[in-house]
Amino acid sequence: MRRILLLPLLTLALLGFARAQATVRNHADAETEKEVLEVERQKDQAVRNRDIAVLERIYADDMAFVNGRGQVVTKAQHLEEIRSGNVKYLSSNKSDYHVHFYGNTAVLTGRENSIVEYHGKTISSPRQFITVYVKLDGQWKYVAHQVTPVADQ
Amino acid sequence: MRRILILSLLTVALVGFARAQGTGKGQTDAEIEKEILKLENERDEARQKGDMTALNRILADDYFYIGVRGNVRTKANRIDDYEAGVIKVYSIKKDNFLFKIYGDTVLMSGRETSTTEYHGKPNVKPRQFTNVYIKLDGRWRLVFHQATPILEPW
Repeated sequence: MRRILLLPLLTLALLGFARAQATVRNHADAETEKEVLEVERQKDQAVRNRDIAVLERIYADDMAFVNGRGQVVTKAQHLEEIRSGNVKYLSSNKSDYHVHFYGNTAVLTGRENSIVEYHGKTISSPRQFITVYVKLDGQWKYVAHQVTPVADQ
Repeated sequence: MRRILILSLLTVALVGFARAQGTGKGQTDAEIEKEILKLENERDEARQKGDMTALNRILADDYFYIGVRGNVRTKANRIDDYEAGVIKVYSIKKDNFLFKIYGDTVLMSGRETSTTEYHGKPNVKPRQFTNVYIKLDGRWRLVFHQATPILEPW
């Protein structure tokens, strides 16, 4: 009887520690990565099509966006720039995606060569970006984005 | 003897589950901000002194860095750069901090006007940065840093 009791306890102990380790640092499976990249794709498409309703859904209310000139833009300001046509995507080109997962947080980095018109000026030079997605109420939300133009190294 | 063994196993099981459930809980946002600021100050001090032990402790193993020139560096690259004397930090100045806390994830942003040098090129211009701190195995670690030069808005 005691032996029977010992075995489940040992299993419970091992499971407890395994969960403790895995909760903090979940190496997301391919499915989760696919999920985040799909939200990123929907977001990019919505920016190109100026689909504010989709962007409203994907962007967290407190999202912070640092553009290529180091200016911090809020969700409302960013949506207004897209709505007004001050930001226009003329072509889309992103590569070198890396996604790091930490529990419910996905840190997505990559390189962008899209051609964008911003306040009448054309941006075509390569830039490096980060986007942070956090799963809030079961949905991946875009909480932060930063762009840095790539200069000659 | 068996009773002691059962008791020990039960304790281990409960501690394990408590750790799994308790990550990121039990601290107020203000306490987390204070802890992150302290860590950030320790990191800045380590950058100035070239204290690799402290940097190794604070930077996560998969730390990823995007510098003001859009250069991408890993933790190993950064440590090598410090050890080789390629990075020099003469003074630290940061302000306009903003924290966003999502459980075990903290996004810290701010403005930096520190005086640094990288491969002989001085950097004194203001830049906007984002740091991502994650609580890993009970400790806050810096997993990501990006800086963008601040220019006049268009």
